[in-house]
Amino acid sequence: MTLFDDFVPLAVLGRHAEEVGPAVLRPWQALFPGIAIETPLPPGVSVALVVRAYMAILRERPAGNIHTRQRMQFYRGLVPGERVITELTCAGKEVRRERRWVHFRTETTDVAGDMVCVGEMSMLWTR
Amino acid sequence: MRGRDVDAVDTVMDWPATLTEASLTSSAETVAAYAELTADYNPIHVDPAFAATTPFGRPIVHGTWSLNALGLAMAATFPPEIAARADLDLQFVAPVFVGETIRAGGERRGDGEGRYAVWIKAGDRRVVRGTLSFNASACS
Repeated sequence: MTLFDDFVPLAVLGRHAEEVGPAVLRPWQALFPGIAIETPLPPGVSVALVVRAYMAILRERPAGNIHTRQRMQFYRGLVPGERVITELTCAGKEVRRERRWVHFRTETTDVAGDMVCVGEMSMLWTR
Repeated sequence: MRGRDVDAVDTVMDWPATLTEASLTSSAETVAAYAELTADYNPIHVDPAFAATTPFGRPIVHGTWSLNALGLAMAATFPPEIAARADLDLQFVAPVFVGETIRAGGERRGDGEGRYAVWIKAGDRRVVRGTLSFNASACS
């Protein structure tokens, strides 16, 4: 279990590689049938891959954490079949009004190392 | 910081005053499907018994699911090559409860072309607020 005290600001927490393949695109299309799957893929696909990477890297989390902020800078849309790598960093942490906040940064690149999207997220960490 | 290339886009892009609004409706099924898609099984989203112990009292949808309503609005408003370069900065200011319909939109800000104040509402409640601009370094 990763607790608030375990986070070290600016530490890289891990990297996760994943193909933009059926494991992502089939459920995404089933969920959002009104959004066409075409190239470039909709930004929501990039967001889903970023969340999947976060979940894969931080597997053991306290129950009930709350996502309070998300910034996404999209550099380009994804292409079906390509592979992307997401790096997760602890951007900082703080206690405000007796609440524990953890801030993360994600950088998603393609296999050539070119940036696909950069994310910043803040989570209210329960323990 | 806006780059030269974004300024170049301004010269050919007639930035609309508002985003074309878009909506999504949540359900227990969509929450379960989004949990499977993202591998985010936080019980605050998928376990009514757990959610009942939180200040919200019942399950809430994933914040990033809501973001797709803005994705729909952007897709309806901008050409794909512009929408693909979005820079979204969003605060999830209130919960969206499972079963609610959300509506996303935005208004162009007066301090520059191609910058919008965006929002997502559940009924009359503003649940997300933030900004939309376009990624300067990507516009090359």
